[in-house]
Amino acid sequence: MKKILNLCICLIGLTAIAGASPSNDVKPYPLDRCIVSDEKLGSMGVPVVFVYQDQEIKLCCKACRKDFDADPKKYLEKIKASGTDSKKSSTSEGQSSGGTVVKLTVDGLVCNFCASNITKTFSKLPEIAAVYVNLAAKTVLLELKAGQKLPEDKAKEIVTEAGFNLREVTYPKESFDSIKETLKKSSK
Amino acid sequence: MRKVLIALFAFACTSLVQAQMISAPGINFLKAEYGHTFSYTEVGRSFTGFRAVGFGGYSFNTGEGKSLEAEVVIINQLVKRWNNQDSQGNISVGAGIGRGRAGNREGWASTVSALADWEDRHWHIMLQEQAVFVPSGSRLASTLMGGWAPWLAEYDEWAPWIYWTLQHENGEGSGFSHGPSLVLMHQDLLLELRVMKSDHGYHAEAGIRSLF
Repeated sequence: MKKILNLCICLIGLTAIAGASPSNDVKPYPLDRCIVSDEKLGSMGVPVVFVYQDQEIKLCCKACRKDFDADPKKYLEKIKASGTDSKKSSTSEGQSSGGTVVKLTVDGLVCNFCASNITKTFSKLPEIAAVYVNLAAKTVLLELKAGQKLPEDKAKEIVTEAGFNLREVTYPKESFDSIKETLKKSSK
Repeated sequence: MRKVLIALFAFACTSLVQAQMISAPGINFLKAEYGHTFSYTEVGRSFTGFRAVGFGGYSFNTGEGKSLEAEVVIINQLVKRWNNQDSQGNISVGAGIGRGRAGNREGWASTVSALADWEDRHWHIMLQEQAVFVPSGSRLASTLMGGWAPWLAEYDEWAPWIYWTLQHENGEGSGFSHGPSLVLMHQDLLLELRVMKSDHGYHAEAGIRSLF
């Protein structure tokens, strides 16, 4: 009976210690990409992991640490802004979208009818919520519906079937509308 | 050698007036043009990004109130596309079969067409051939168009283009014509107004293209 009591006391004590541990207050890093360079974590070697003001930070390499330290507030805000969407998309199914926004750079995208073709093609897909094409930047910006993913190989297949070449796929953390506005301004 | 000659003959026999509407899979197209001596309407659907099927109606004014007309089922095939970072080039061919008439004679009709074009955001050049064969005759329209965009517009804005068109039609009462045209593009719509000068004087032409 005494042994059982001792065991219970030990367990309660351990639980209390664990509960008081500062590591539990640390917010987990919500992205699968470096917040500084936007590179996929692991693509530049072992990620640099540290805690800054109770926020776990993961960077792709040591060089990004210097940039982070130069303006940590900026990157914390970026993490805060993208946290919700990224948690949804950081699934274990390999190539997730990494967010609800997918940015495609497409070769051959030169005229209105090209833009129309590709807009209609993506609009028909069930996982797509919004499409914006910017001819100046040769960019197709996609907003996915909640919980949806668009892996790179599927994006490439769709673009090829539409008659174009996919040059690059990125998964930006900024919102669809903010990227759209930036693209619109830059094309003026 | 024989295959090469057949291919060259097929290309030489074909030519049209605007880009052939081969779009992304599952997209419909409308293309129509009213001209002084040649008018046509094409409606169809792209089943893949490289092939479109539809209906075409063609009418050549052959003079003195006579005409050569054909209504055919058409198929357009993209033969080759070059997608570059800032430009695109295309070669496509088309063929059609249906009914046609010239004067009092009516019977089977066929069409063949070919198009080659290259464009970037500022410049567009296109060569197009369209041949129509009916029981008592045939017509060939050849068109060379060069276009320039005075300023660049985005997909959701009106995009103006200024073209110069050189056109030739064979047969009696036809010949060369040329002139400027203004093209306005907005999203899925293209409108064209053209003034052409030929041996018969000046005449206005109009065209429309749309994806839906």
